[in-house]
Amino acid sequence: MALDVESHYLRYGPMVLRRCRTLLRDPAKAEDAMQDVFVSLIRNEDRLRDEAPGALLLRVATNVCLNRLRGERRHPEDAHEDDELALRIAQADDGGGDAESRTLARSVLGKLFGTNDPLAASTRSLAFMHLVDGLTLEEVARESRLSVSGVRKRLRGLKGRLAELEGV
Amino acid sequence: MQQDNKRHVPDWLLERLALGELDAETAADVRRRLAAEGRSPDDIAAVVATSNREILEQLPATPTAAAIRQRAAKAEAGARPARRRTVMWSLPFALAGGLALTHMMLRQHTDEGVVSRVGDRPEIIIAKDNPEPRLYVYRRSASGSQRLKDGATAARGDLVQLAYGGGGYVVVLSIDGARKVTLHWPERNDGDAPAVKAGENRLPSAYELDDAPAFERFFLIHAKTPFSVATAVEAARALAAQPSARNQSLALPPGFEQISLALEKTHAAKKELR
Repeated sequence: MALDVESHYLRYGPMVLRRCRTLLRDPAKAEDAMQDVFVSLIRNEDRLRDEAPGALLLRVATNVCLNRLRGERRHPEDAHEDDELALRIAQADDGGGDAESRTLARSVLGKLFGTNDPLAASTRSLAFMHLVDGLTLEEVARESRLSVSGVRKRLRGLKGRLAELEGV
Repeated sequence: MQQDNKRHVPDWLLERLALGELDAETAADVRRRLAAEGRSPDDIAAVVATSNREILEQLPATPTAAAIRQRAAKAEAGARPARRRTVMWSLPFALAGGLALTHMMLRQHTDEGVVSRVGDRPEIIIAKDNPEPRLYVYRRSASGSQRLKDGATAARGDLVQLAYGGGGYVVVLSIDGARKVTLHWPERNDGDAPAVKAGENRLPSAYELDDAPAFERFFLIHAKTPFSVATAVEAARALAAQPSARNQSLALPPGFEQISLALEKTHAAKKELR
């Protein structure tokens, strides 16, 4: 049965938009991202049978927004402490270096962490949930349907990437 | 569960609490932490409810859902194999008759309701068959009328006269930066689009721009056969709900053509011209 977009938007749309606004800090970009979140939901509606839509949509919104932040650099005067961290996280699994090595790194990360799945919690979004949202590792794990050790392992990998970026 | 009481309860969990989707144990834990912060779950629920109401007023469900479905349909179409093969097969024939290829590709676009663009400005001329649909926007002032081009600046209080020409059947409407859709011609939404009379047809009354921000974008929607005005208005509502409403085309069924002309809004209000 086709997803009832209107009823899902009525219940979850404002929450998704608030999430996108928090991450992107740009009303127009946030609205655009919010629509993309629901498009992902339409294209993967079978996932709704498995878990509460709220957590799923918040995760997808985080993924969508972090993907948009990747490569984006704000003006220093617009910068916010959390923005800086979000940007670093967003860029962390890019792999650095030339385009070829970045693509390779992304591919490896995708295989390791399932980041090709639009609805899965990407490592970046896990990091954002923990470091910016302030969720504990246990909460991140529960909201992402992962084990705590799985979350810890992924974040350890990302921390390495962040450390590399720090050293550049 | 280990908690760090120095940290505020994350918004993520507050959203989930407001939705009523947290399991009982987690919900109780969040309420306890809120109490420790001197905050009440009821206050949080009220803040969320107010924000929800404001957002749904700003982005109403019906047009926003329509815009999302439209975007999903486009994404789905984009994921399908492209029609490139058709065009490539056409190439040898086109080399023999370039004009035929141009015409065929143009028809292919219009059949999909896709708009051809001139540069990156959406001032659009699609129709291949004469007479071509035309949309004119004039600014009336004490010294006369000035024809405005796509991208011209305008301000609240400007008096705009719309005119159209061509053949077939048309609807003229506009969307603005406040996401409002205004039907200019015909005057009612519940019938069919009227037939176009020969020559330039000025609308019976001018239109005064309000204080909507950013832009006012006028559309002429044209078809060779009669169509429901509501079809055009619905497409405009769906587009108005999109963040990219300033530049994107209306999603119309096959057989429609569209012309748009956008005015960039400036903050300065013009003197009343009555």
